[in-house]
Amino acid sequence: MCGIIGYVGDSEAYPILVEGLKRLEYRGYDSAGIITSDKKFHMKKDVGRISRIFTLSGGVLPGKRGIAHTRWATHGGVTRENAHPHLSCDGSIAVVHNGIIENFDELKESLEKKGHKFSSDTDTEVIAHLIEDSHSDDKKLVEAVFDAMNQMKGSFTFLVLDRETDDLIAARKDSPLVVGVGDGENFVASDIPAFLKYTKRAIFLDNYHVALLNKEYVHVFDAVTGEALEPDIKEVRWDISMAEKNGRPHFMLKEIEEQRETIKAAINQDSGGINRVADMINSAQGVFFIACGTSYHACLCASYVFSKIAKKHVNTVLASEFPNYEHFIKKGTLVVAVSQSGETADVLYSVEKAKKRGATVLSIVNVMGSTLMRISDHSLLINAGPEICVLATKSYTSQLALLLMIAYATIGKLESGRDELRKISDRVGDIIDNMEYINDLANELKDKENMFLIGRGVSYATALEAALKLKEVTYIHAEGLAGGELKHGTLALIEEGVPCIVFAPDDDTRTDIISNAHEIKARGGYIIGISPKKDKVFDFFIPVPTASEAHPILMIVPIQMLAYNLAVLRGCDPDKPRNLAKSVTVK
Amino acid sequence: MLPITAVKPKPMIKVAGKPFLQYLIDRLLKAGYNEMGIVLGYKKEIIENFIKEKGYRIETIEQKNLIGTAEAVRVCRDYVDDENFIVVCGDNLYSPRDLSKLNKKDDYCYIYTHQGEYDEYIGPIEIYGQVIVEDGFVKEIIEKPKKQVSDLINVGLYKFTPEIFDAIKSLKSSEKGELKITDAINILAKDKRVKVLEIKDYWVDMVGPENMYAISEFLVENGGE
Repeated sequence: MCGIIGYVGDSEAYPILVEGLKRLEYRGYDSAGIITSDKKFHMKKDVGRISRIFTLSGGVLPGKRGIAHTRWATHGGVTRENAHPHLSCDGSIAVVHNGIIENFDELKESLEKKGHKFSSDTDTEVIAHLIEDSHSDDKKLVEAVFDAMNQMKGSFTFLVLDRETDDLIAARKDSPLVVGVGDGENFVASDIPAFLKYTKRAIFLDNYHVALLNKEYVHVFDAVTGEALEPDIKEVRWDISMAEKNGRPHFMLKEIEEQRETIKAAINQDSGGINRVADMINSAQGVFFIACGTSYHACLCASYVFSKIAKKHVNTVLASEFPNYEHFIKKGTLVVAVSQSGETADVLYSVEKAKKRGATVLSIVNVMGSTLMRISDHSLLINAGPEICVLATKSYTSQLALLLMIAYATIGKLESGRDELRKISDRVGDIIDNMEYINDLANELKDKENMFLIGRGVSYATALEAALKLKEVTYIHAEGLAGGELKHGTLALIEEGVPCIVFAPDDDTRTDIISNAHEIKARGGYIIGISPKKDKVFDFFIPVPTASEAHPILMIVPIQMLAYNLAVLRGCDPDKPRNLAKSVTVK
Repeated sequence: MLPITAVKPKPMIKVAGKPFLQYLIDRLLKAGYNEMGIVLGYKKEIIENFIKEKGYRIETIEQKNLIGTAEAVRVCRDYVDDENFIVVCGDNLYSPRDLSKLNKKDDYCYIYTHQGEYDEYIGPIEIYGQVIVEDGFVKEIIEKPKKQVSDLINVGLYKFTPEIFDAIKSLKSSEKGELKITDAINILAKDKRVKVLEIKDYWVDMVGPENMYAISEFLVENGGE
């Protein structure tokens, strides 16, 4: 996830920007850049670590105004050219950007027709040219920024530095942006830690808000109406470590809450790439989804969804077990490898094996430039941003969203699938916004030793993932199983007061899973129902929205919240569960 | 609406990023109602804090006895004094245009009705009262009739004159000990004191988890406006 920071004041901008970038390092990045101005632009950008790119011995960029960026690549590879800032044709406007511009292809094409020359593969560069195109003697720079914003689709939070004036412009759409109000100096950054040392007074910008900063003032505008707004300055009471977590006590909670944005980032990507993957699946002779842990559960969900939406058979295999299937792999087989880090040893090993047997490899990863991405024939990014907590939360829902999109694309319904998922993403926000009550449930469950989770159809995969979330962070034994399997053994473990979480979507599994819940209740089990509809069998009801095929995305969110609350109540560290590592690089 | 409302009052349920109540207050302001009082009971401090935080100039009025809608109106007696006023439920939403039409200067009472089909933004039709109208006046509101008596539904949005307080005073509590505002309206209706308006734009009634998400989607699609 990119980080951005800007400064305008009486001090030299460069050291402040370098320090700010270091504060944003935890967000993850692959390259970085800074530009300052003293009526002349001075720029430094490169691939690699911040401490290596901006060494003090390498000289200081002069100027009391500047903007800086850490990049987490989405459009265009990890190269110096693609690192931000990006400039307009005449080199007088510099831009750094966080987000993905969905209609960048068409905007670039029309700008090129007007004679604009592009020097990178990034979507960001479009912003600099759009502003340059609209800026004139009659139109102020800030108005040109409004114009640019109103032409773009997608997510675009960005900073604009022009060579000549004393100003700095900051604009927000979807990715966060905060103005730091200082004394004779002002700051703006994607996150508070970047300027917390200098000021605790902050203005949190909303979507389509534009801030015009110079050392004396901060003006805020609505980009759609062009009207000036009354800035709402808030006093921040966080220390640096809290600020990195967006004021939350743990990364896990921050990352769960981020899902209202991350799902959108997964689905707001280029149709071309997704359609190409759909074609690969459609033309393959045999498709294997391979993954470990949470990613495996996303694949298992996908296998049900592909069967239902696309009437397509795909095999889902644990990466660690995949070598046992190698005799089924040949030229024409497609292996879809899913991994958050792209460094999972079991996945890499199986992919190498599959490649040796002539299979084509498609990977779905979160980390750009990861090993898995490099050894694959084709890759898609989920764009969830860095996931610091060991538990996978936002990466899971992003994987699900992208896999669903691919399933829709295989039957030529990518756009309607995208619309559906956009709504789902909003509903995830609704669930998170009304989750205060989950602590009551966590209190009821905190001393339990066992829990069971059941689902049928695609909700079986949800039950497995939910059980994994609960056990890895609460250390309570949690077992997920298919509702139909209860009678074949596990029912023997149900006794008075044993909690059982029942996933009951409004689909063709509902009647049967509700009967299973009755079977458990009759033996004393305590039924927690996650469903769009109440049922009398539920002792505790967690309402979720109705959804067609996308309900696994909605149903996991309350469980993530429950797992988090339980972990805190039981004194477990949600970000660092015992014995576990974020990226499993050993077999 | 348990368990969500086990920890906060229903109007504080967040839909499309904001508490439901905020949409209602903003629409009322847009419709030109600048003086507002809010009757609070269950977990009132949560709403009080919200109003303070948002800087809304709204007077809070406590309803100590949660014995029905007529009691909720009665406790506003001192606040409204001898003026006409409108009454809105905290879990319902209407367009500013429909709301503003209720600002009648005459000395009649008005009730809004909805003629139409069930949709997911309101509850099941059978939970609402039906309104019998004669010569443009309300003849009677019949709560939850077993058989349909009218195709006009009472949406719970009213304009009252102070004479409603006399009607409330003469009410006898129902078997359940409940005092209903519709019974008070029926008293005034007998003397042709109550006229009818019809919803033109939309009516939203958040009945529970079964429609809160649909309402959220409706608000997103309407840009929260």
